[in-house]
Amino acid sequence: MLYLGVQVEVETEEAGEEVASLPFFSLTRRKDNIILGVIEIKDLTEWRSIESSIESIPGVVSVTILSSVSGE
Amino acid sequence: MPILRLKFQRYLRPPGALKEEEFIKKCIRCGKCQQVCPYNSIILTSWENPFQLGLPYIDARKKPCYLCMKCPPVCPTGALDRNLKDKEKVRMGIAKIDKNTCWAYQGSFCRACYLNCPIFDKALKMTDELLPVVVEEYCVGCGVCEHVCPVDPSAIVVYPPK
Amino acid sequence: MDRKYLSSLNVKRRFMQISVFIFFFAVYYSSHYQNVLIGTFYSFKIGPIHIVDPYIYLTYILRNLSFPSILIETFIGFLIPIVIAFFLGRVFCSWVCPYNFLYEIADTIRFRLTKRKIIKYYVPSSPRYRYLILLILIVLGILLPFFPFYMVLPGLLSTFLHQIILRSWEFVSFFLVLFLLIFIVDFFLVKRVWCNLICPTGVLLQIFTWRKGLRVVKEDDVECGKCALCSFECPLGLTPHLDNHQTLCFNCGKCVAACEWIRKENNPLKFKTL
Repeated sequence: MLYLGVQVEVETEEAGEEVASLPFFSLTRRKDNIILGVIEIKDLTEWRSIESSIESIPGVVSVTILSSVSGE
Repeated sequence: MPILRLKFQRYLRPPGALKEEEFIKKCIRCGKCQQVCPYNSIILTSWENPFQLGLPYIDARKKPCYLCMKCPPVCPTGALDRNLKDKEKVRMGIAKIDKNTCWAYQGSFCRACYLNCPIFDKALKMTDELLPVVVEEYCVGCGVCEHVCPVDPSAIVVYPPK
Repeated sequence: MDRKYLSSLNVKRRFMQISVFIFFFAVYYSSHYQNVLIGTFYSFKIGPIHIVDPYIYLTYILRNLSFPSILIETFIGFLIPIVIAFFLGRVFCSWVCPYNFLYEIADTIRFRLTKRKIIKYYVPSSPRYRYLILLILIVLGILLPFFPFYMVLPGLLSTFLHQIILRSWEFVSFFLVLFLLIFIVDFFLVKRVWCNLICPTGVLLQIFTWRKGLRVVKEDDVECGKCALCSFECPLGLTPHLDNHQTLCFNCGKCVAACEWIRKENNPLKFKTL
């Protein structure tokens, strides 16, 4: 299991709410239009699907990986 | 468990280590570097290579060196150079990015290695804010990038010097 | 059988041996908080001085043809066990060495379980064998950089203790396999072969022992009852009642305690200096 620290940049309040309520996303902090949180994944293919599902939310500008930690 | 590691693989030594042949001859396996390391990053060789029993090494993926520089002063024999105090002068190895597996090169936005590099914005740079590139002149080989890389096995690997 | 005469000296010695274990655990648990006491039996740092095992130090100098870079502090550290051995004999072996401590505990367990005390240990017939083996071990230690670290059992044991705390199970398992091999031969097959014949640290400490330092003597003017209780008690299988134990004795004092108990004031066996 891998825990990714991610930064999601959003344009609107609603987009922010929706990102924060995603089941795999644990919100750490939120300020203005930057959301920081932790996502738990297994591998690259899982990341691809999660990445596209976040980016498909209207109002999301970008998703950036900040760091990662192995969950063994 | 790294039991299956190749027997003559090159290992990442603690900061300040001499050239490998000199290091093997001078290290008296006293374990002081391991004891003083606040992050418990240093591992002593056992099954990986019985001909190097007790020699300290660092498994960057498991726990990298955070360059606190507490280990060189306690080494009694000089296998770790006591006079090395500047973390930027450390030469543990050089990081290399595998462009085929690095997620940034596949189109995702990932800055994990860049953001966590202790020689910030010098040893690892983001070209066009998108693609990480190692600047070999400044890379100290600490392995923090290898530790935080989300790809498994890591897309950025530190190679000990020849 | 009742061996209550193993005197207050033995109690003190046991206390010291246990304290060494506790001391090392304390050192390891505090290693992130202090820098004054750190290391293992290969090399231990007390303040500025780095005590170094004599066998390790010698093979280091000969292998590298130079001294360790912290020159004076390691040289003083090398001299400390030598000077202690010069005046007090091989007390390191009987009072500090963890391998000897474990061996003695195993011996006590064997005695309690089998109700029999082992008296026949392997004792080499001449000191020359030990010096020859030491020479071979020094040459091997020069040619093979890894070799000395297998031969210093206290060093291996103390490193092992630290790896348990760190939960490095690979090192722990490697050490256990190695240790069991040595211990099974040493405890069941050729008893005490390590301490009496092989251990390079022990032989080196004995070489640097002064003939007139602390030792067990059998006084001629006091009559020996030839009961051989002293030799019965000796953990190394020596024969103090025949007065030929000098080059191997590690000053544990059990023979002296036995003799004092059975002969009261007229005991021929005593500790002596000068």
